[in-house]
Amino acid sequence: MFKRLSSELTLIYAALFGVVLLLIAGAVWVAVEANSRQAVRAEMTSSSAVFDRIWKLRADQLQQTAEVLARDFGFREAVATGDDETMLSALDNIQSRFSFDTAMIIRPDGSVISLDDELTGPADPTLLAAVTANPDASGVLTLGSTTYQAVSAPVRAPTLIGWVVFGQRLGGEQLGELEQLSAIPLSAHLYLKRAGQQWSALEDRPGSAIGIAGEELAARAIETNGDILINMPERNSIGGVKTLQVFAEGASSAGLLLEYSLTMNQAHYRDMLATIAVIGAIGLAALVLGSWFVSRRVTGPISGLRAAADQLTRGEVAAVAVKGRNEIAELAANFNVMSSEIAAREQRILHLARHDQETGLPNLRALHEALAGLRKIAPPGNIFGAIISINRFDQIRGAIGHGLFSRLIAEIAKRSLNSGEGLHVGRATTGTIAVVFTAQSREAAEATIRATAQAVSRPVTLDGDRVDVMVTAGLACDAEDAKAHLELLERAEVAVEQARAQRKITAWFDPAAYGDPATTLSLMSSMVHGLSSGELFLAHQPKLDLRTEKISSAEALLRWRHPQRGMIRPDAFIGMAEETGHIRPLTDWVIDRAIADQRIFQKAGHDVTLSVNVSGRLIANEQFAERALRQIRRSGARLCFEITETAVIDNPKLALDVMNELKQAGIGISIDDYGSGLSSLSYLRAIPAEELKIDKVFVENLGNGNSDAFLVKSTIDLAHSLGMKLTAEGVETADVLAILRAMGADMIQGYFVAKPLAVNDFLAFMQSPDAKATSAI
Amino acid sequence: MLGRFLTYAATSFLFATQAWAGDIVIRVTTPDGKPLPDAVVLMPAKPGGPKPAPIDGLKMAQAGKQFTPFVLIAPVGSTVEFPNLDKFRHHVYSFSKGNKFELELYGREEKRVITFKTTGVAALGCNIHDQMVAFIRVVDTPWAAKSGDDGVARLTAAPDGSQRIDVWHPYATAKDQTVTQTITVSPGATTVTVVLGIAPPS
Repeated sequence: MFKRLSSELTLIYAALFGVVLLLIAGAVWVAVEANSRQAVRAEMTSSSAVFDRIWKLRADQLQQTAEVLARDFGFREAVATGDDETMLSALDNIQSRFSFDTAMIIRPDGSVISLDDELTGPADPTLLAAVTANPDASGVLTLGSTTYQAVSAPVRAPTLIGWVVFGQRLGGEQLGELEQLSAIPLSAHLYLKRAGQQWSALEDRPGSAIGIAGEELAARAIETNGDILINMPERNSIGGVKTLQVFAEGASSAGLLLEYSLTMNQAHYRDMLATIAVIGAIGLAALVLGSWFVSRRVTGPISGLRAAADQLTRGEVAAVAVKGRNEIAELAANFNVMSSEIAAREQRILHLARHDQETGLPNLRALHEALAGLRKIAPPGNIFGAIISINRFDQIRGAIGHGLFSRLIAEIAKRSLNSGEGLHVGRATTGTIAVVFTAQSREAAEATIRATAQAVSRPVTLDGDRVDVMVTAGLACDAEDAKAHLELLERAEVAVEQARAQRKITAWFDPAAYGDPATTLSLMSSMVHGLSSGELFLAHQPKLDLRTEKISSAEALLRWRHPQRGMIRPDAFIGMAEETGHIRPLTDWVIDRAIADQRIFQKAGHDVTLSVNVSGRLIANEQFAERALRQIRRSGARLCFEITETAVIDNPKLALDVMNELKQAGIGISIDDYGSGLSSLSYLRAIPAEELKIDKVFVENLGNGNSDAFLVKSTIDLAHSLGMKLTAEGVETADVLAILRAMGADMIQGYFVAKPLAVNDFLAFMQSPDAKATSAI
Repeated sequence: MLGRFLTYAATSFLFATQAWAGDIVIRVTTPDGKPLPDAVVLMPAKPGGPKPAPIDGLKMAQAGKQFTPFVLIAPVGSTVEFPNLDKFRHHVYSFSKGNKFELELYGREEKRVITFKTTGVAALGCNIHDQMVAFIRVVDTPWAAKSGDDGVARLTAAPDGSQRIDVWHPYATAKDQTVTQTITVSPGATTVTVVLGIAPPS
């Protein structure tokens, strides 16, 4: 629900507080409401009592005054003797002294004497009845249109001779005074009812605000003959109704309604509630801030932990600041321990990944990283890589064992490292170490590596035994020959092989001498295509039989005229074909082609035995041999297989079986390039060859009077003694021919006779052998 | 007081025996049948009829903040003494028409004498003591009597034949506090019962 725990905590606390606040407010409202009503009722009751008291005080004052007057001897005499002037002056005197609103004397015969002319004359029957019934009457009295609180007192002399009646007006003014006496804001309303009439409000104090409701209430109060306190929900007020004593009992009724508006009362409580609401809002804000602050304190470290965990996930170093001693602090501390342990473990793993476990030396990966580092600070032309390879490391390792050999490598690496400044040294393969470094020039780089090689090529003492160490170093520059598709150190490794081939201690990588494997693959692909498209063809180099002085045989040499690259030398693709497995179909094609060419020659009347070069690897291949035999038998061709000496030695037993089979099938076997490999006389004896071709390096120098002449002569003798003919290749001069003829060589091959010739040229050559071929191939 | 009344009654009786011989016994009761004392029963004087002789020395004493007797019958022209038997002073007055007088403060053993010359009722009061009330019925007929505690009043030697009698009580509710009744007086004793509503002042 929430993304942040602190928000969630804050909201929960705020909601709880809000609920509590609402409950409190509700409780306060209910209590206040009840309390308010109760207080109002109490106040109404008390106001009612106050009113009673005031009413009585007024009545008593009137009554006492009336009695005082009624008992005054002179007044009584005046009344008894019918002295009206005296009576009126007495009334006037009293009225002005006590501020009574009305005063009168009623005589038993019903006549009224009053200062008020309207009252003078026959008494109101009700009034007369009232005083007759109760000479000390007291209560609400309406005379004409005016309502009074009135009292009467009998005048006795000593028998009853009349009544004195005093009245105080009851009107808006008096009710207003009554309202002001109350402690609470009341509004007072007076209701009257005369016999046979409806209830009505006091005329100058209309009860319009109360209306019929108030009058009905007054009626109810009178009817229940008591004071009542009632709710007036429609007016949101409480009303207290009092029955008032009336002057004329039974003839009229009067009621007083004291109304208290709850609206006004509740306004105060609304203010209080508003205060509570404001306090609540402030409290809520404080709580939200507080809980936010607290939860931030709680969740802040958690957020920190989360961020640190994210960092850790990204593989960065992560640490959390530990504050306090609570559980989260412990968690943070544990996290930090975990984080540092992970970092340490990662360091170990990285170390393992970058170092050779056997020797603890940096491995190739570490060197590549070092190289990447160098590439950032130096141009490619100044970055160099070298592979220092221990010569004959198999033998050394076999002799001293793996354990000591590791120490040897480590020692060599140490010496390498110490041999110059800024060298990055690591183990490249089991028997090699690699050095990556920068130098100002190729010459400086070579000097560095020479120094290293020299420093390394000293005997190493391991467990008291001296081990002689000789190394070969290959060098490569980062800038050169991107076309080789080899990494710097791979090129350096190739350079090691190239150095070995050149019998040098150090050598630069030679891209020309190294066939690019990628190019090789595409070359093989075009070669296969060239076989069918006629780009490849055979050139035949005639062999001169010195016995017959005729051309009776020729060597079929493969030629490739590439549409884009021109003539491609066999060296460039034969070896490759051997490596990539294309040599089999290629040789099959050559045999088929030789058979076909031989037929062309036959048709032209030239019977020529064609020699085909067969790779030593194929001669041990029975499927190849079977196919070759089948083709030759079917065509009846006469072919000879030239096999290099080294190849034969590679797979002696099987090769011998196959060669014997070929010989039985009438296919001649020829040992090619004799003298360039490591000769084994026993194999030479075992091979069922009929021809031995001495390597041209011996033949080319024959005329120079060196030891080659002796070697050639003894080889010729060796061949003859083993029942083989000897062919000399590379004959280019008549002098050499003369020497070979004198030595007893059987056949010669070379430019002196003819260069390799395409089919047509060959045919032309055969027509006139003395004429030298015009176009050698 | 009773002695004096009897003296008066005897005197009246002397007149009656001379010309007439009828006695009237009037029993005055309240409506609930209780005997009503202090009611005055009289037979109104007739023109040319006998007049009562004035009596001197009738007494209306003040004792214990009360008048004694409560009701006194006085033939017109009689004098009434007002002896004060209390230790304090009284201020006796009457505003009654024709018999208006005022005896301003007088003390113990002081005696005031008033002559009542007008027939009617004189209501007596004391200006100092409101509760003191008494009535003097001034009559111009020889036949007047006051009911006793047993509510009985006697008129002696009343003329025979149909006669009007008035029964008066100061607190009677009837008009002029008087109930009038016509009776036939025969020789010997004629007995009449008169019912009078009473409303004493509160």
